[in-house]
Amino acid sequence: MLFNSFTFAIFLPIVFFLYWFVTKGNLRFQNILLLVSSYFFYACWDYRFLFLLIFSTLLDFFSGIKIEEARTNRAKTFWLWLSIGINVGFLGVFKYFNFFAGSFTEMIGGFGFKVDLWTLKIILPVGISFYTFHGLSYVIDIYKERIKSERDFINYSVFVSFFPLLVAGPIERATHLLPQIIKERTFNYVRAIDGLRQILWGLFKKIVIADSCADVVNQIFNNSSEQSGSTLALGAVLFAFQIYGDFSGYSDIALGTARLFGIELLRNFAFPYFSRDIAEFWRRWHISLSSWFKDYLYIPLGGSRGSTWKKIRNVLIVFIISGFWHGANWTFIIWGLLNALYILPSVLIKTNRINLEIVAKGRLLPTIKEFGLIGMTFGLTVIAWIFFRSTSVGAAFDYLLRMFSKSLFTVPSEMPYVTLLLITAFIIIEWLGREDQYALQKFGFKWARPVRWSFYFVNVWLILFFSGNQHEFIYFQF
Amino acid sequence: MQKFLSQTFTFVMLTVLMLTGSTYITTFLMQKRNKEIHSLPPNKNYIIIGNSRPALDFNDSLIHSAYNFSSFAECYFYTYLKAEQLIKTNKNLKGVFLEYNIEDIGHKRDNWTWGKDLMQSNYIKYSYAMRAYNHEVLLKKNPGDLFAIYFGRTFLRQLKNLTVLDSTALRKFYGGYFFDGSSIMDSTSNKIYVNQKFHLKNVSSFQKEQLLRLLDLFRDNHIKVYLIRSPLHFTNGVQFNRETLIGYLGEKNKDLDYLDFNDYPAKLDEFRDPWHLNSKGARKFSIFFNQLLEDGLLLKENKEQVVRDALLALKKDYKE
Repeated sequence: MLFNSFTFAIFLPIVFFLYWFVTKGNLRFQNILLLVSSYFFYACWDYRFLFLLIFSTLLDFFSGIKIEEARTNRAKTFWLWLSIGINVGFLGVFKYFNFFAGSFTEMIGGFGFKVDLWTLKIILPVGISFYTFHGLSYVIDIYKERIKSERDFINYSVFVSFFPLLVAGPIERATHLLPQIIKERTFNYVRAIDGLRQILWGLFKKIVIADSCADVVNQIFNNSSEQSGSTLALGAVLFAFQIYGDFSGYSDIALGTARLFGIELLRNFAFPYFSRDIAEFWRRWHISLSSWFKDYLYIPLGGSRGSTWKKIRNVLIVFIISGFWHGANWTFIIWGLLNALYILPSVLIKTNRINLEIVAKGRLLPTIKEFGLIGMTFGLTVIAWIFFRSTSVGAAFDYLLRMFSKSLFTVPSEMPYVTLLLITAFIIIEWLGREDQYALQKFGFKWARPVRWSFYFVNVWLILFFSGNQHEFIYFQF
Repeated sequence: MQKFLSQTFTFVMLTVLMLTGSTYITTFLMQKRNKEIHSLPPNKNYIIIGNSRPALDFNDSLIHSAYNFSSFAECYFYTYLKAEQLIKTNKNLKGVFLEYNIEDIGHKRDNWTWGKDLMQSNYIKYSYAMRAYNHEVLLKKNPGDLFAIYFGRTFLRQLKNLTVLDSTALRKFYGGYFFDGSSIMDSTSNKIYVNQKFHLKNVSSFQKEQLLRLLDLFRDNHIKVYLIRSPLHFTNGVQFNRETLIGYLGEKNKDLDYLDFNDYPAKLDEFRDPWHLNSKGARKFSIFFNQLLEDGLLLKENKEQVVRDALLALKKDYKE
């Protein structure tokens, strides 16, 4: 069930009604309802993988209890590694088996040997990377004694499977979400309206921006050998907007939906394309994943402490694994590596934490310097996105070579005027709302209600207008 | 909670009202332009209808008595709506050439009816002529996309039809002969298409029902129907003969004329692809078809045999 589908438009009001009216505020019933709805939501995609989700939930639930109850460090470590091993094992089989088998065959083939390794026809269970990371953070936090284990299986299952975040995050932390699940929830008008507004903005980003970019992007990337440099540059820029609209749109819908049920999820995007350097970009892009890697990998590795070599090693490990998390393809690994190379200089000279606040805070426009920095950072991310979007590393390099040719300074053969106009309007709204949680949060609050509602109406109309052209969420594949 | 529900309800209702209202107004205005779209030129009293095959094959500027109203990716569900408008507008309509081959009642046409993309292109054309039955069918099969198309696209498209398009452009939007000079009949495309076979299990009862409705509509209005099969490339072998095809139409329609041009001997460069002629092929074929009509084909007793004989004679002149 997609967030941008008609089925979800029926599903959500039904669950909302049952949640607030039928359970009559009984926390136990509310959580059972959330769990059943979440499993139904997941089963709509493929019911067979529901068992995998339940198994993973059971594993981490009991591992958490065992870690807490363990009397010796050895027993604690055993249960921790058992959970990590099985979780990562599942991820490895479902997501990476064919990649490793294929890469191994290619490598051996390079030495002149012919190995016929069998590959599996594996369907990637949707959301596996996300719920595995939920579970891992939970057991690691118990091991590190940051939290107590949850003894109620329903509560814990809702933490793992809560439908707004189940298939594409945000990747939640037990320390943040579990207390909300355990605590009684009351309906809050302001929060619920805010949730609806965020859903509206998420749908706009996904359907109007991302999906209208998608057609042009596919056209350009699929025929990149026939395109001029300027057209390829346009394709790469549009892909940057496509992936942002797609993923941050999904996150907005997830956060907005959760708010309707009185639950606050972790913020996942904070206007990343207004970043002035790559370090800032990574504090604003897919925040829940970046902070996960920071807390559970980068800091345990030593973070930015220690020798220069160690700093370089840590950054490389985190970014390469982060790239690999996105998919079993060398393109993602190169994408991660490239981002590591972008960020490394600032880590080494300790300038990676200079831009902590949003750009031009309290001002309408940025300074020329800020504008230049934003443009440069955006340009670097666009180059990295080419690897992310391409089907192979060779295709990505070929794309780059063709892009940086003489024809870069010609008029693109594809000129999607409507899409460019929409993107311009989108950037303006995002810029004006950049100090809030999401752009539309307080946008037009000073307007009279009929004007504000007319603005929302235009949004709804645009969503409907472009919804004949839907594409699946990109991050579903991860 | 009450405030939340009332505000949300008000916003949703206002949105629905505004969207429905604006679409309703343009639908009403489109109905007023119906005559412009569907009226036949004074010298023509036969129509050719169907999908892209007749749209590309019948160059009606070369056919004196028939007007081509065929449209790309149109299935009988929508052709019915067009036929209704044509009958209503043209009191002098004598007969109709209706494209019919096995694929036209196949399951793939279901996708043409309520699949997202083609429902969209057809719905925005014919929504103004639709009845409760049509909406009921689409609503049952694909409610989500229907809502999106109805609320999101129909109004704007109809507004464009009403404000921007002149009569000629508007007629073109609804169908007509389509000029296409290209030819992709190379060896690759032959390889791709040659093995495509149609299995009888793929006949869709829904599509069959729509064809029967259409035939009933013409019968009830005393308009003679001539089923036609447009030329196909020889490699795209036609598996089903007249008997099988007419057999699907039941007892009531067993005596319908089936003018089968499948064997029409076009050269390779006269095909756009295995299913359609290009402009060069269409020109030759239309002259041939017009000649048949001029020679009184429709007055003859055994029309099917006349067509077969004419094709046979023509084949002698064509050497592949």
